[in-house]
Amino acid sequence: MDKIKADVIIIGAGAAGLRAAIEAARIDSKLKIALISKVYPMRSHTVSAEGGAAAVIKEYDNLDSHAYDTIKGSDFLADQDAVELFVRLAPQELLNLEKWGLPWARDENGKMAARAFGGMSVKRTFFAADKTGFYILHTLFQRSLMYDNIERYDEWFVTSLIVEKGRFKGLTAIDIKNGTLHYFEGKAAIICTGGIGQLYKTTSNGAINTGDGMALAYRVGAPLKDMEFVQFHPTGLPGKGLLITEAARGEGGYLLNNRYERFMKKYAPEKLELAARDVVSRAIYYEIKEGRGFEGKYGAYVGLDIRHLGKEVIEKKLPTVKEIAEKYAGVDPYNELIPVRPTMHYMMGGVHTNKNGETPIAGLYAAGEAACVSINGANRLGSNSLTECLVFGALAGRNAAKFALEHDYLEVNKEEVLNEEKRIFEGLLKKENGISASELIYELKDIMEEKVGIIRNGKELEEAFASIMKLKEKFKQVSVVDKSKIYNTDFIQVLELDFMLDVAEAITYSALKRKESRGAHYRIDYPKRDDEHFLVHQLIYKTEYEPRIEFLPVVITRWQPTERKY
Amino acid sequence: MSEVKILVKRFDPDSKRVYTSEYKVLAEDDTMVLDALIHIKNEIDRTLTFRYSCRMGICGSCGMVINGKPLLACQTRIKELKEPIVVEPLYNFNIIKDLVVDFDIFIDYLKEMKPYIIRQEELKEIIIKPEELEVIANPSACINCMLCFAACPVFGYDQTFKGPATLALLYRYLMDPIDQAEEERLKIANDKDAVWKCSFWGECSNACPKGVDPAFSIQRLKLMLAIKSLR
Amino acid sequence: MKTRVGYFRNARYTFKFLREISSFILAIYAIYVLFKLLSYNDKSYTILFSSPLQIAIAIIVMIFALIHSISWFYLMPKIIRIKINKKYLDSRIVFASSLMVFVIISIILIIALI
Repeated sequence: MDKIKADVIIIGAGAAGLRAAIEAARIDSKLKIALISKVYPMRSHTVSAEGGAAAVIKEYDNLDSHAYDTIKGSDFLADQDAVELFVRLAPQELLNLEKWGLPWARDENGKMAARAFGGMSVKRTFFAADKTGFYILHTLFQRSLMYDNIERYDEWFVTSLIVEKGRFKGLTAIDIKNGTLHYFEGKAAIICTGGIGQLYKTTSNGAINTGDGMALAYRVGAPLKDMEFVQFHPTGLPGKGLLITEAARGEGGYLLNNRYERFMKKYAPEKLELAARDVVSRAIYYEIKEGRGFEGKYGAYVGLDIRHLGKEVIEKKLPTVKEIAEKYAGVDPYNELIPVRPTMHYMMGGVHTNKNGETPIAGLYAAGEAACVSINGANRLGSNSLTECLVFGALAGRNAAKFALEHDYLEVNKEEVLNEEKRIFEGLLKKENGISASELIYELKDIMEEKVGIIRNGKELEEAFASIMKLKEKFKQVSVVDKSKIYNTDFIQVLELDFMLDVAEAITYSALKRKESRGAHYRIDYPKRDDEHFLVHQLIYKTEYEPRIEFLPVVITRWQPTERKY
Repeated sequence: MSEVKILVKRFDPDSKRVYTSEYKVLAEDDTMVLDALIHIKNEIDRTLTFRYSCRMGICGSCGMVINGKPLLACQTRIKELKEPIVVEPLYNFNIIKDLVVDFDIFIDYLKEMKPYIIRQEELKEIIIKPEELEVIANPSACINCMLCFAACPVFGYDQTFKGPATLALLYRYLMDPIDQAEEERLKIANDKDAVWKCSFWGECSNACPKGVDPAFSIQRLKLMLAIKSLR
Repeated sequence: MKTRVGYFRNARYTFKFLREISSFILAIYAIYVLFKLLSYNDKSYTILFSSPLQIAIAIIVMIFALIHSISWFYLMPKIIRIKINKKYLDSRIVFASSLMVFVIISIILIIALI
């Protein structure tokens, strides 16, 4: 087992991780940055983001407007001081990317072009074709190649964090290519591992989104926050869950039920299709439940109509939508409706951080979707996430670098890591004749999809939690079929399943304890928003038995919560 | 719904054995090869090893050779393939295991291209007309899936060739309206292992799932170098 | 271990390989023609077709010459794009027109030589 020393260790190389790495590397060229990712950086799920990134850059815009839109979108659960910081730092991040070569779409005057997006009162979403995430990821990755002090560990899987007396000091990771366990000694670490989509059957997320970083933090005593807020994107392909970007609606697309009515009129009379995502998702859910959906191979769906946008707009601004509709749904969007249904898309909750990206554990930071600051509260507005990854990725990178410069290493010795080695290799890899991991994964996805979905109720949440506890017991009997140490994807999936169960526990328990409906968390038994009791974040801590919940009041600066109507 | 036979050419790195596994799966009209592989891994053979993530042709993980053509598994419909369907790892790369290959060589070459904007002065405001961006729209769409490397006969014969995707990205930065390192980049292109090893087969552009035209980019670089040498 | 697959993996690749070596073959034949013509006082082209073998070789070389030229006309406009009034001329038009010019010039040359 090898020890590797690095000043700042970043787990996850998506937009947040790469941005943090670049920032930390810039602060001081003598700082050694270790960028660990279980996939090559350009495979990170940032690459699939399409719509755009929001910031106040246009003259007709102002910071308060972006802040208020975000806070209202969050159903007033966002911490307003964090949002104010976010909207203030956002423009510089996008302009930075411009300088780094990101080909933002331009208007006729050569300035960055903005499009409308859900919940945004003005056009402030900047984009690059409809592959904004792709361009951001590749621009950041290629930029990171400029820094010699960033050492990449591609296809390394982090299995545990090592914390001593409330301070981060290292972690263990498997080099997937040869299955050997290594341990890192670091002064600071940043968790940028993205979302949790694989917990659900229908998701827009990639196979890699298994909530690893959240589980890693959870297991060393860092609390997770707002885990009950799971965003379902209204327009995913039925069955496959692949995303049809909100930009399709931003450019003027309609949502139609089987009577060809723009049903959003009933649910959001002002904003219609561009209301907040939780509103639109629930609307589609009700339309389908009440029999006004089209029937299809993968169940009922509603139609996304972009026919009236015309060939030029679709070719220039929505080419990926066209490609996905044709390739995966077999429809021609020029002449047909695209079948859509809500798909699990984003995790508002995550590792609890303050607005500097710091977790309560000294030296441990988090940024991006894996973190919860919170600026997204109970529901995230589209095009805020890419910006969030950049803003907080940079902040966490900078703060982690500063921490590393001001602190010394805490020693990690081999003995501390031997237990982890045993747990993984003796406990998991070598076990014989147990149950297959696939069986458990299917079960978990079923439970989450049916009982911890768009519309929830107390009874089902309790059942879900009990089932997840049973799955955790069953997990002890999982064995790996592939016994090789070299590139063992069977084994890695088992490690991911281990993390997924922890995350599922946190989500379900938090959902059970929040006895109100707010944003993306909607309960039939508590259908109203309850600001008196629940204008708080729920921090969830792992214990030996049931998780422990602590309330953290929402920070309100200038905007008092009001009724949320679109 | 019908049953199809899929043959996967596999490699076991522990015994160094190359062998073929035969699987039978049920496929519908819209079942992709990747769907079948995932099904095989979950239900039939958990040792089958391959990379994938996004399932929508943008992450570039699932590049493999299917019936002799380098393709993205997530975008290849089973019903459009002749049976038996033969799946093998990408050509021209060291195979780590089954369908997983080692393409670190690409990242090393990419680094040599200096794939980031190099400017002398700071820019206050950047005004770029939409037409200026059209030049880089094509080469910048590269998802690094390595299908072009598998298709390129030159790279297959001689691995010191920098490769189509690499040079396309070099071209992308050369043509970027705000980059100021033209001299440097032309020098990088003007290497016997860079543009001059390409003999314009065009198979790279043929294989690219995102429509990138590396062949075009490389020949343009050759043209630019030729014109420059005349001055 | 890796599957190194280069120039002859299928019919299309093999054909393209032939295209590549066509320049080589044409060059060798051109030198041969030059040599043959210089070493005979009677400067008549009939020297080159004096045996069935020579005719066969000449035909093969002509096929390669056609592969060479036609593929060049096909590829060239894809790289050197001609802009007329803000839009690029379709490479197929340039291909077709260059083929026509090629045929016309060939006919003129053949008539001149006969």
